[in-house]
Amino acid sequence: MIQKIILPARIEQLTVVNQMLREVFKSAPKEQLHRIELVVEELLANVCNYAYGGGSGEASFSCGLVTFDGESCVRLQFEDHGAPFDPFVERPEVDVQSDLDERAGGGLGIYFVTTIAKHYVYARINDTNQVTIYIDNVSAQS
Amino acid sequence: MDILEVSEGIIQVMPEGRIDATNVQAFEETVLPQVKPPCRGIIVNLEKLEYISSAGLRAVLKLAKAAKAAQIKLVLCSLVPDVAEVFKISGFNLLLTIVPDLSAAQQSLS
Repeated sequence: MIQKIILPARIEQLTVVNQMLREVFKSAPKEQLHRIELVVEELLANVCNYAYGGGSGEASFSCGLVTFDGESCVRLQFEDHGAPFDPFVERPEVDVQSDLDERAGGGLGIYFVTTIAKHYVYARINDTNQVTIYIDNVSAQS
Repeated sequence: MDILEVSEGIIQVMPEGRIDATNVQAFEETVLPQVKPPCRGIIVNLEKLEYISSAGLRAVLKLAKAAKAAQIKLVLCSLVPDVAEVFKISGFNLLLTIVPDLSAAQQSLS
């Protein structure tokens, strides 16, 4: 079952979103919830930073368990009506081997997302950016 | 989050709960001003930290670069498993000195 909320695209809303995650995924193992929180924070931050060019706007967030590719998966989805922005294309490269002097902080969050996700997709539908992430549901019964 | 002087020139910071995009600025504003003489070593004790996101990691990177520039040693200790995983995914475990506990941290700075 998927639950959905609409919220202002402001990073303080992370608290609200996390409360929802803890409720929806209350029987998930701790490490699973942790990975979900990491992905969700990064996606919310992207919407807050890039969607409305510094102005205000709304986003919707939905989460829940679905069957994807024949397996139980966590599905997380953000939508906003801002300027077209594909976070998977517009990102700095992360070199995890680089040393302290070379290392820049950019791109790290989206790197977490693509590392944790089983599948990720960006779509632009009419005036809407839609980012959908699927994560293996490790608490699924076989 | 308090700054504690554990021995001469060595300070310990112990953030609690979470460092994420909503509170990372407070962490930076507390720690970064400490990165100067007479400080010669900084212990970031993560025993009470349950969650750190990319925003928090960027702050740690800023701290590490500032410490290196000021020739101050930086060591992190007592990472819980979820936090250790984040450091590993990002490669920050290779970038920084990370030890199991506070006494190892103090030893590494002595």
